[in-house]
Amino acid sequence: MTVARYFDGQSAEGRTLEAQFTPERLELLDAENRTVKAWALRDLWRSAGQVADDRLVLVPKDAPESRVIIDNPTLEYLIRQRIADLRRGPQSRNWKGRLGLVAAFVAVCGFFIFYGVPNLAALGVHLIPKETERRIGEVVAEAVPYMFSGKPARYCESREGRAALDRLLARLSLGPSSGLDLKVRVVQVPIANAFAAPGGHIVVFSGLLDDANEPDSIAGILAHEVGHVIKRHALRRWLRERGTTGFVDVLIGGVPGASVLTSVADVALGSSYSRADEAEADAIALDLLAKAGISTKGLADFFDSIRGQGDGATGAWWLSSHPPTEERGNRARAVTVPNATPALDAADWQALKAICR
Amino acid sequence: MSAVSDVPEDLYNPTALPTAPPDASHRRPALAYDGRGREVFGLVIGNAFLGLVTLGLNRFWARTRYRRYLWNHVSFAGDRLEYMGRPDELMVGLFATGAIFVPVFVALGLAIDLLSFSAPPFAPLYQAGAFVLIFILGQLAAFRARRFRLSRTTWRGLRFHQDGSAFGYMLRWLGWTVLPIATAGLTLPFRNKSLYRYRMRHTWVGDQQLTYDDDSGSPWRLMPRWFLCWLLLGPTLFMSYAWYRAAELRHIVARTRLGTVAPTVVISGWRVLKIYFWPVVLAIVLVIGVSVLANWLLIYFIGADTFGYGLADRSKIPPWVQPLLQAVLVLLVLGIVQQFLLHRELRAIGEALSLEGRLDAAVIRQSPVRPRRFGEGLADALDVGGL
Repeated sequence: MTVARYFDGQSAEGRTLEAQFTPERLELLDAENRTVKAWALRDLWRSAGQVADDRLVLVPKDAPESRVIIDNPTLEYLIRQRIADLRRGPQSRNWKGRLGLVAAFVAVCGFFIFYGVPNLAALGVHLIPKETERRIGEVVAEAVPYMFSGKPARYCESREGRAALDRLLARLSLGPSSGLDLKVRVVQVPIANAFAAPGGHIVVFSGLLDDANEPDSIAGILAHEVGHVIKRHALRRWLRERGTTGFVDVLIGGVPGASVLTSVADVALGSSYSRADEAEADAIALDLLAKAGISTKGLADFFDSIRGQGDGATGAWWLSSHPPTEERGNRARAVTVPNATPALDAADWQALKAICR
Repeated sequence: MSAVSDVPEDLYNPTALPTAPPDASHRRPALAYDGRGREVFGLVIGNAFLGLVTLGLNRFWARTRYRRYLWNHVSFAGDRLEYMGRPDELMVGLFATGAIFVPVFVALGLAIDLLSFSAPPFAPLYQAGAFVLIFILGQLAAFRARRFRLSRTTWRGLRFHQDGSAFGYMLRWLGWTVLPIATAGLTLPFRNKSLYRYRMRHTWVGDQQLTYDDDSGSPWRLMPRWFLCWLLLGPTLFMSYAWYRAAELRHIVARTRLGTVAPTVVISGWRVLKIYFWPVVLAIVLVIGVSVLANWLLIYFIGADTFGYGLADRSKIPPWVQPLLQAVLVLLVLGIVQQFLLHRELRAIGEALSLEGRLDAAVIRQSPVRPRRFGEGLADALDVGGL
């Protein structure tokens, strides 16, 4: 006889009964041959706890806490082979269900990363008061030169240089009367770079002044950074990147390599947004230059000069944070400014270049 | 039902089939694990490969498959445990947790940024602080995850259950972990016992609570051995810990009770060392191996020379590709080894443990606690749901 143990889902004490299979039914009989329990085979599941070539563990669909355990491995094998209606338990779903679930999961994640985070970041920018943004910008403006040079920032403040810088800003209509409340500083770092921190802080590295051939380039770069300030890009980008990494961190937490994936997501997503930001800032810069009667050639030349040393050559241009510089140069050259005069006269240009001395 | 009618007659003629003798083992209970290393390895490798292909999306299924395997190969009194959890429960759990923890993570990130920016030299300190915070929170998550796992564990159709407070466990963990740090590790036996006892006392099999026998000796007994082990940690490259750990297991596991059923543990330091030795060696070899492989692949296929030997032009690939490739491979290897380690631990416990006392199965009734609907999201988010 085939011995079955029946557990009613209430007690760990089972009843030992005799199992009798017919093609469509399983009956459990007691010692007097009376039927104790009976099921149509289609009303049974094979349990998720079933181990191949081991005793058969059946779960009645109408009483998922009960178990019928049949101590006969051969039977398990035969039933698995022959009886289609004995399926695995409620734990598994069909592949359509799985696929749908995965699709929903991917869709929700994608929606959040590509739509939710950027929009929330744009919203967050408006929630942060200008004064707070200014204070954040203050610490960022101090910290970035530190990261580049490993020393606390040393600001260049020669009197003539400062006056020349202020005249340049006034020419671009960015002086105190502009309402923008800019704080433009030159910091002693021998790298050709400039950045806009939140809250109107613009920092020009002295290396940029050393490399520049004409004041129009500096005017163009300043105008470009002002574009970032006007659009509050730095703050928005910061919120966006934190949003993305926070989301991906939680989402991917359990996966090996999580933090690295996070930073790649960060680079890939951040750069596509920042390319849009750069284009926006470029447009504002060209506009400011045209209004001030400064030639856009200086900016175009600057773009040309950074071509090849920067991102344009990596091949992964879609991952680089700035649009291809060739395109940017051409776009700048396409704007012609009639009756353009140099952004600064020769004396002021020399004074600006010497601001760190 | 045509397939059914093809079944040979003898299937329904039970005398023709071999049958196991009626199982009497529930009178003399035993705890056994019969998972096979090769099967576990195949499962884990398959899951890792799928994880790579699906960018980790398969992990809800992977984890479910892995748990089913481990649970199903543990048997108590002759009957196997069953893992009844479903992958979609894990997925929904992660979403539910994410709704709370994405904002927390984002806020934490913003705060670290602000702090780091205002004092750049201390930036690593803030990062480390955040890491410690997450690690502590991870204990809460791990306790909650255990509650989920137990609520999805059945034996003879009876559910397991965990009560107790996850927050309370986290605080205990914090207190008991800070103390050994303050005492250079000397109070570790008390910590291990205390946390183990908390977990066990809040574990239920059906409606029966596990107990911990506190009267038969305190961890003071372990102190001489621990002190010796502690002195030897450096000279033996931490291997003396295995020798202590064996004694600790014999001490604390033997004090766990299910009714009158009590375990005896026979395990030597060598056996404990054996659990970890080969996986650790394997991990080291594989980590070095895949790192070299990652570099070689890059040099061969992309022409990037990450070692800087001038073999090729470095600038051709973005600088993050090599660390990414290397980190993914290394973490993949570590994940595989970690899961394999759990199997080895279970196997060693199965061998070492024998149960004394009579199991009165009739006393164990179904757990009155309904299982929670979703689970484990936090553990998933914090990457502490190693199982």
